Amino acid sequence: MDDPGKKASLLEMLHQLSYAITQDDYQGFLKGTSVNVKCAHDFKHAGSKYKVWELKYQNKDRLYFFTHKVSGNREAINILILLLFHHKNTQNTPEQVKAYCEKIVKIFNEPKSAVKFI
Amino acid sequence: MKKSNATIFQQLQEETGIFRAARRSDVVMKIRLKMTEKGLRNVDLAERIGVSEANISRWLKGNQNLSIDTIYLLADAIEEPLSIELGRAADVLTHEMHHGSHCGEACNAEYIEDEVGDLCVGETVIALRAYAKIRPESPLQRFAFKGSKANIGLEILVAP
Repeated sequence: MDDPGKKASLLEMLHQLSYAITQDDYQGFLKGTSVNVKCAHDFKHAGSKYKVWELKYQNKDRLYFFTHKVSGNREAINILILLLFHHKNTQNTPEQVKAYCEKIVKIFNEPKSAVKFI
Repeated sequence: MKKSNATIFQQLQEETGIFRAARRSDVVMKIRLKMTEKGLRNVDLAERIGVSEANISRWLKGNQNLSIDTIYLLADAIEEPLSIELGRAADVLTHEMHHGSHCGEACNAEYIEDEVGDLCVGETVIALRAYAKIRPESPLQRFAFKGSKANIGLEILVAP
C-alpha cells in the first residue's frame, strides 16, 4: 500500500480503535467520533450466528474485524481480531471480502483451533 | 547520524499527511477516555465551558485541528492537568513507528499474498492477520487485543 491517504486512514482507524478497546463498550466509545462501526456481514455456521464488523472512516476506507470469546483462567476474555483493510469502491461489502472474513471467523471457531495467551 | 535539513524536509513532506488525522484525534481520544472515566457527557462540558453541545460534539469528533487554547479549555473543563511534552513517549505517533513496526507491516505486500489466498487483492486490500504476529514489545499490540483494562499479549495458534 503506497498511497498516503490509505495509510492515513488505516492509521486513524487503528488509532481510535486502540483507545476504544480499553472500554467494555468499544462501539459506544466510538460513537460521535470520525470512525463509525457497523455490522458488515452476518452468517450462520454450525448452529451459531456470527458477525463481521467494519470500522468506517470517510467515504471509502473500511477495516473489517470480529470479536471472539476465549476461556481465560478465571473468566472468558473478549478479543478483537482484525481481518482486512479495504478501500471500498462499492456501496455494499464485496462478496470476496465477505468470503475471506467468513473463512477466518470459521477457523477461529473450529473445535480443534486454540488461542494461546503468551 | 544527524539528518540534513533537506532529508527532514523530505520526510515531513511524505509523512505529515499520514499522521495528521491520528494526531488530531489523539488528544480527543484521551479527553474522551477521561470523560468516560468521570461520567461526563458532552452537555456537561458545554455547560462548564459556556458553548453549545453541538460545538462540543464537533470538537470531540476527532477530526478538527483544535487550537491549543481549545485543548486547554477542554482539559480544564474535565478538571485534568494538561502538559505538552517533547521527547519519546510510548504512544506518540512518530516516523519511527511508521517505518519500524505496525504501519510497515500493514503496508507490506507480502502479507497480502501469504494470508489472503484466493481473494483478489491489489493495493486496496490488506490482510491484517499480520497483526496476530505482533511482538509483545510492539507499541501497537493493543490494536489486536482486547484485555478489558489491562494489556494482554496474545498469539493466535490455529490448527490446520
